Amino acid sequence: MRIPFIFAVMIAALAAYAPAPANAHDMQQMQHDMSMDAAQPLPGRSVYNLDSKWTRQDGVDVAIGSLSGKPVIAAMVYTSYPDMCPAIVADMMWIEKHLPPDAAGQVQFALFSFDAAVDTPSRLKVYADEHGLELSRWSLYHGDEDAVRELAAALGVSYRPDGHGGFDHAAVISLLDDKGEVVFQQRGTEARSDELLAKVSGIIGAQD
Amino acid sequence: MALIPAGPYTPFQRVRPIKASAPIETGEMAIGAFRLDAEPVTNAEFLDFVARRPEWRKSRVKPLFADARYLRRWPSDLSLPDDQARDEPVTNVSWFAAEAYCRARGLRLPTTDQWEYALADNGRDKAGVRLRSLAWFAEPNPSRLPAIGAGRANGFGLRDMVGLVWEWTLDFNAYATSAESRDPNGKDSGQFCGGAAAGVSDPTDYLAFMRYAMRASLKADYTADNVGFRCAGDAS
Repeated sequence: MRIPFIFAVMIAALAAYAPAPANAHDMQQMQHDMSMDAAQPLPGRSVYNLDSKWTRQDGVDVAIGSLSGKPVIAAMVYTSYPDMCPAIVADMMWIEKHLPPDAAGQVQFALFSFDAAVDTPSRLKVYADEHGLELSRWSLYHGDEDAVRELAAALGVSYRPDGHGGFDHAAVISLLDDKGEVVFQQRGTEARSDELLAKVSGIIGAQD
Repeated sequence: MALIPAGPYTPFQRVRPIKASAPIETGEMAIGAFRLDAEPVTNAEFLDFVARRPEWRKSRVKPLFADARYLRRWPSDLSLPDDQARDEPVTNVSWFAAEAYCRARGLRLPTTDQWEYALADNGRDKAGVRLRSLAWFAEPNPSRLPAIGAGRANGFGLRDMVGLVWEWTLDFNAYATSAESRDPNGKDSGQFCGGAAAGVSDPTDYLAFMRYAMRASLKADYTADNVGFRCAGDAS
């Protein structure tokens, strides 16, 4: 928790010494500068450089970069698996539940399905409803085999079809910053994702 | 490109289904006919590609798609060290770059099963492949690679499947979890979701262990001095 504290001190110091905008024109200029920031090209390591197309659980076609702007906790899963994969989603729900109150609205949760054939957007919607995923924070994505392969490659998630309609895959939960760069990855499922939670709190503290 | 006929294939790694009661899969699978580049892709061919696709030049490639050693032997974006390099296999290319090259030709990287099936060559010259592989593994990487096409073609008409460069496959990461070491009581049992590896079809096949271990050690942005690729396509 040291880093957010240091950032908070720096920001407080800047706020104390920076001259306040003298008039409305300066304020407009400041807003203009901020929007220019938002339009800057993505960092070269950003996962949002992938041009793969996905369809969200609400049926809307989106680029993966549509997630930019907020930190994202992302995992690749598929919904027809009976036993262990739900542990990934359970870990993410644990993180959601344990986020600091001021951070709760600032983090997005994203699930990308391995299963191009079965996990249609409407099926993903049903999955979200059944698991009580709050769709203001969670989004679920269906992509074709190429989109899945590219994202798995970019995130370092090994997987293969198991020949019975399922997928054997590494359990990986990735924390992306607001520009889509991987900040941290939890490999393997845990009952308490304390380390990942601390990293989330860290980057939210750094943004404030 | 060489036409590889359909045929039976026994995957090296066996998978134990997640349901303990289900049988371990040992059987053959069928590989459909496909086309495969007769040799690995050369520097000259890859140079043509980056000339047409600026985003794959070494000065512009995004670090998400290739690490810092990308095309490191090339002196600049659009030049090779010398004429001799034109016929040498391109290396220091990432999976993303190799796949982009193949797609630009309307092709794909071969799957691991397709590549292994092509190497197996319907069982022809198994002893020769073994000897050439062992000799190759015993040598350090040469300071520069020989030109493609020097070796004898196998029964499918393919050259340089062993002895020149390691090659990317489309699903190189399908086996990247060291799954054969999985112990249901081990600490890493939560790392993988699905069936466990249940040994291999031929435990004496040291060379296959080497190939699978090599692929498992890769990540999609890695570029190495001795990893190249060739492309595959549909049979028709």
